[in-house]
Amino acid sequence: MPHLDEGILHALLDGEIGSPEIAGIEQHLAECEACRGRLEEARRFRTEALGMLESLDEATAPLGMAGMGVAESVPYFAAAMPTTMRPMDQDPVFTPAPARAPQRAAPPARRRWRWVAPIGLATAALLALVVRTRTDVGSGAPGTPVAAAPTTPVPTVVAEAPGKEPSAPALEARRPSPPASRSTARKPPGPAPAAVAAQPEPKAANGQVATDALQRAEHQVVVASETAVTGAAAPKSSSLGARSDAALGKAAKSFDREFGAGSAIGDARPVAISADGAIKTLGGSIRLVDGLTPERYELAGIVVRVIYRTAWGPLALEQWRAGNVLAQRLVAPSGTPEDSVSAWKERIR
Amino acid sequence: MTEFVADLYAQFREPLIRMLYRRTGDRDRAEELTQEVFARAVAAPPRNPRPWLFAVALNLLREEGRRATRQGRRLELYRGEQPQWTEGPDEALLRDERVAKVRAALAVLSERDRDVLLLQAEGMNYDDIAQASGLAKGAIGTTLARARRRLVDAYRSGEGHRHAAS
Repeated sequence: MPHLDEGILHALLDGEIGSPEIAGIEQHLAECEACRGRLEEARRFRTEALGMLESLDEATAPLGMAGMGVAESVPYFAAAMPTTMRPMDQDPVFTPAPARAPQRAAPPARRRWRWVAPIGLATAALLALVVRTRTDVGSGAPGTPVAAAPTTPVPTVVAEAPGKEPSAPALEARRPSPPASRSTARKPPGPAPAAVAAQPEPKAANGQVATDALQRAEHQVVVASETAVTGAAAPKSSSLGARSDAALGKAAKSFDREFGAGSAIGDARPVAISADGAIKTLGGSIRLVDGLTPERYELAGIVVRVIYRTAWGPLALEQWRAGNVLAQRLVAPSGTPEDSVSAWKERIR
Repeated sequence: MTEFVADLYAQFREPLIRMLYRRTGDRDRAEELTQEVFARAVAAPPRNPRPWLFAVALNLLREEGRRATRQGRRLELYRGEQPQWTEGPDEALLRDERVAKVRAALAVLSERDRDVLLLQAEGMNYDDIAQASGLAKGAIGTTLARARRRLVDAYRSGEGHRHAAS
């Protein structure tokens, strides 16, 4: 009898060999040492492959998933759903393995920043009051920076406390065009004008600065209020933040290698910026991946990065203004399947 | 009919989301696609639901990928190299790295091998896998043998983990 086919061995291990055939196979295995060895090898491959697939279920849960079930999010199935169905946070797919429990028990990083929201709000309110006073006496000439504006701590807070960002329509709100000199950047991804690279927060009129600061402060309140809801779902935010930095730092170097030294992103250390800062830097609009929630925004030279967290690591939608064109680039972590990347590309708005 | 689909939903929602999540790594997509699968089940209740639901899920995934490919957006794609962690031996980082490595190995497989592998991992028998995948039942064992070996080999060699994509 010839040696057993590898497919037969795997079918045997999967319990797919029927009684008429199994006797002959077992008899051959009893007589053939080579096939017994191959059966053991097949068993190892099978066990290891299944273990690898199961390990995929242990990926860190993304932000905003806690308590969000499919049935709850769709009226039809909410109505049709039996009462025995469980919400997503009780789903075996997304429920963390026991080994992860101690990490979940650790205080979520975002909670550490709860205290900042009232301070940021107070700062913004004070700033708005100062600006209004100055405007009332006729000193609010366009382009005059407010001395206190650059010192507002808000951008750092936004970067360190990822939460629910403003929705895409809100971010699409048009703003005044940037100064003409900003539109003279080379074709993508050309070098950054030094002045822009050194100026992460463009100057604006007093009223605009105050409005932005106030909007950022309001955003902080949203972040803080979200913490109680989503904090439990994102216990690893600090670790992931470090991971994102490492990955994107590496990506930045590769970007620089590809486009030569002195490219917009290669020479500039990324700095955290707010959503409003990102929109202003890009001349009044920004592109986002529909369906994903930005984790944070960064500015590296003239390149704005909208960073998302995915199962494979940080995903960055980089974009920069080149003349009248808003160029973009999707930086996906290694190992991301093509169809996921294609879906993200399709959902860029 | 609603009760029938609700029963299917209770029975197959979790396996479908799990399979799609393993396949895509994107929970939102896994949920959306699962939702679409059940919407289609409402429109045309299947006679043999198990392979039908999984086949529809995989077809939707393929359709989505093809649609995205057709839309030639002005977008350059760059895949960053695998990050070099500077942190210490942190459990979460190690786990995430393993997950990334497994996903990279899975991406090396052909679509058919990957689908069959994921279907079998959901506990489907060869008859159902054959129906869901369109393969002959007699080819499932061979396909699984190849897929498992390829997956493990790709994982061990780190294949797909560091490649730069188009």
